[in-house]
Amino acid sequence: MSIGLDLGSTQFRSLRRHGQRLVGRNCPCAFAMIADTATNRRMIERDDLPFLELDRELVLIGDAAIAWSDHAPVAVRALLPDGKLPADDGLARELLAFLIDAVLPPATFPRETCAMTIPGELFSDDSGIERDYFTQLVKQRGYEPVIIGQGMAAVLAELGDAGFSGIGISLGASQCEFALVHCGAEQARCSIPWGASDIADHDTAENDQIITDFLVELLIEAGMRISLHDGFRVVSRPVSIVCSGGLAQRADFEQHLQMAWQRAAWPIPVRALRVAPDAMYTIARGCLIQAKLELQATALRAA
Amino acid sequence: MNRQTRLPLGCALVWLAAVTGHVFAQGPVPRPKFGSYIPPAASATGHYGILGEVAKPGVYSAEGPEVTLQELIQQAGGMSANGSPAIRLVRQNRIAQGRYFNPAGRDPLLPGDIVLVENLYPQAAGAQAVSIGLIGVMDRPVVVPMRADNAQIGTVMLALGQSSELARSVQLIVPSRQRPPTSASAPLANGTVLILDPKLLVAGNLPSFPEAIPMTRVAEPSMTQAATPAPIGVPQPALSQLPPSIPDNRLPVTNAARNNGEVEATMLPFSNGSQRPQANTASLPAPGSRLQPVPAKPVEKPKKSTVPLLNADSEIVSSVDDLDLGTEDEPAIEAAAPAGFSFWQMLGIGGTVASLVGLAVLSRNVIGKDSPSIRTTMMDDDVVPESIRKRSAMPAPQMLQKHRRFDLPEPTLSAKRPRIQPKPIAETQRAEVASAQQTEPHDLAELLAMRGPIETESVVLPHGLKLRRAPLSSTPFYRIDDAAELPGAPHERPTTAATPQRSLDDAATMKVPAPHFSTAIAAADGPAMESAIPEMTGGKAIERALHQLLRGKLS
Repeated sequence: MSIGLDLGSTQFRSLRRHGQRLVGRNCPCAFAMIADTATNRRMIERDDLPFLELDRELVLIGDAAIAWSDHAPVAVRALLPDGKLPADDGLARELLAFLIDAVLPPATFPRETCAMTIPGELFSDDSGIERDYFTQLVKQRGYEPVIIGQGMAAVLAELGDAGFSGIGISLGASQCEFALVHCGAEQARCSIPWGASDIADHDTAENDQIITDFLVELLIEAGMRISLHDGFRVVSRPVSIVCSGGLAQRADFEQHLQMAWQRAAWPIPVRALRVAPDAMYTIARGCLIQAKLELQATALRAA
Repeated sequence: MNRQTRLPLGCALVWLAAVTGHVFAQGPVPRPKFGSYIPPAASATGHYGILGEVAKPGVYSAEGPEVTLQELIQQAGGMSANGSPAIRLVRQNRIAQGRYFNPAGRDPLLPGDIVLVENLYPQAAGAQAVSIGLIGVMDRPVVVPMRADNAQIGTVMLALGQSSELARSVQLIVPSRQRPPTSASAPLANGTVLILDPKLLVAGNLPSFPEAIPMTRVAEPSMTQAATPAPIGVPQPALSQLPPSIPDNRLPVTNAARNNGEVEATMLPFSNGSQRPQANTASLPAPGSRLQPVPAKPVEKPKKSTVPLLNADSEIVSSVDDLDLGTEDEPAIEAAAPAGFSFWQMLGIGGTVASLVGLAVLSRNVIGKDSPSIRTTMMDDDVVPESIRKRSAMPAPQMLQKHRRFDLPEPTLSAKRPRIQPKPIAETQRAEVASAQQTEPHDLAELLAMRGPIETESVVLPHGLKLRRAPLSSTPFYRIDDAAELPGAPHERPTTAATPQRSLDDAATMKVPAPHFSTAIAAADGPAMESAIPEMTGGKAIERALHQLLRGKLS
């Protein structure tokens, strides 16, 4: 069995195949702290919410924290602010370990392949503390981690009929990533540390215009970098593009993207533009496909 | 001393004199100097430039540890209606990572940064006043307002009192939606930054630049209200009050005129229209010179509309064979050919190589039919060629008669070939493969075809677990021998004489000598000290142990 693990800035997701079914796990990457009072304990036990005790406070993780904040004035804190692992926050690290254990079932055999993405990673050869930390956590679950980019995962998930070739755009909460993939191999990557969280707090009435402007600026910024990138520069034929991520889950995202595409100049001729139909598990699905490819390669090498 | 011993002695003396003279000629050997490096005192005041689509462009100075992008934009009066939220930063003379402006965010700046707020619609913008940034003329960035029709590189050079030839060494950072100027007389867009080489400037000719505007920080800035960009399409009052046209014989519009008399920047002493210098086309930089902007040219819109249809499944090829990417005849991702190297030249080289190969094959078939390398018999000519034998004065050996054949043994295949043993597969690897094959087949196509709904499992989080860890806002832990936290006694002097331990039985009742680093605590040894330091229940084990030591008791 192999598994795909999508570690985002705000959500942790895993996807694996169980017979003829695809089974996923999802958990928000957030927590909340409430006072350890009898009333709060009674409400938590009534709703059967998991909690942790910390000195004189109760810690709620994931969905429990969000559910509690919907009914009580409790601030939900991000465990990975801007996709970065807090260096001096031991509690956040411990809670992240709990989340990894929750979304990642134990491996069925030693060194099972787990293709995963790293939150907040801008470069493919980035050796940040996030990569080290999450890799160790995945290894402790018995897996052999294989790290890929979010853009590449999007291509693997949605452009299988195009031979795993094209450009994958991942619109994440803390960063957006553009990846050029050819025959399942990543040729170039362009990461922009702008995320949908930058535009989430705006007024709803102006939200449509703001989203379109954000996409325009994002495409212009990416176009500038792509035009300077050697990997993108060698593209001479129209390529397929797929969009995924939290922003792509909006119902009117296609209209926004269409308008933004008309305003932004794009240096690469495009054959077709797709929006991932199941944007929630698109990256995890691409990770699962990558894990399959790795498994096949391992089997071939062993044979 | 005979003559034989005199000569080496003389040579030794001469060598000694030469070495001594060389040493004395060099003078005294300089002693190594040791010193401590004292870094220059960092200026407490940081300068931050902002230009482009803001109400009050200029250079702002602030004292403090950190100035954020949101504060700077707020100080500059907020973005105009056409201001792009994609903020560009010029840091250390180059374009840094862009920021997407979030009014509620907190993006720290560094002293010397220049913030570029670009125009969303540069074609529609008919601004009569532009702001130009200058880097390299001072130890801080400079932002000067200029009239739009006066904003040229040659004019700027003249206003700076520099030679027009200096335009060759000027680097430009142009807004991404603007075309870079191709000549010294081309107009500069609003928000253009000129990077000058300080070594080439004549410092005495530089005019006085506008003073930096001190930033006024409020305790609780209403950043969201002030810095929120105005609605698209609604011009901001400050910019909408600009006069419709400015005559040429007037001095350029200053920021004071635009902002109700508040002087933020002083205009450079630019000349009027009649004295405006004309750029000499002969001195214009050639294409590819440093006049070209630092970033790449903004991407031009393709002539043919390449806007594809969203989710255009019909345009997606149905199979890998139909895909244009990576096909054999014309790969979509191909190596870029060097400039000036045409296809026909490449074909010429290929043809030449092919012809050489063909000639080699032809010569092998026609001329060298009896090549020794493929014959099983060998001629004597093969051993010693005729030409060599003719040139040699030695008579030809008798055994090397011409066309005398001697057979070589036919190569025979050995009956028992060594069998190539496959490499043993590690047991763990075998187990992996077997387990993987048992659990699920390698049917990637089947996985790709699985488009059904994904079943979501509920995650199981730990419940009721007690975390023994400091909360998020944990106080920093300092070294216990930190001077700021200690009384004045030297730490190496024991403050209390340790009672010699007599026996093991007495060890439990004996008090641990007071910590040697704490005079006051040791002086207060006893019940008073225990009451002074409360008992510590939480924390790490090492902290509890140190705390117990402070209290002077064994745990």
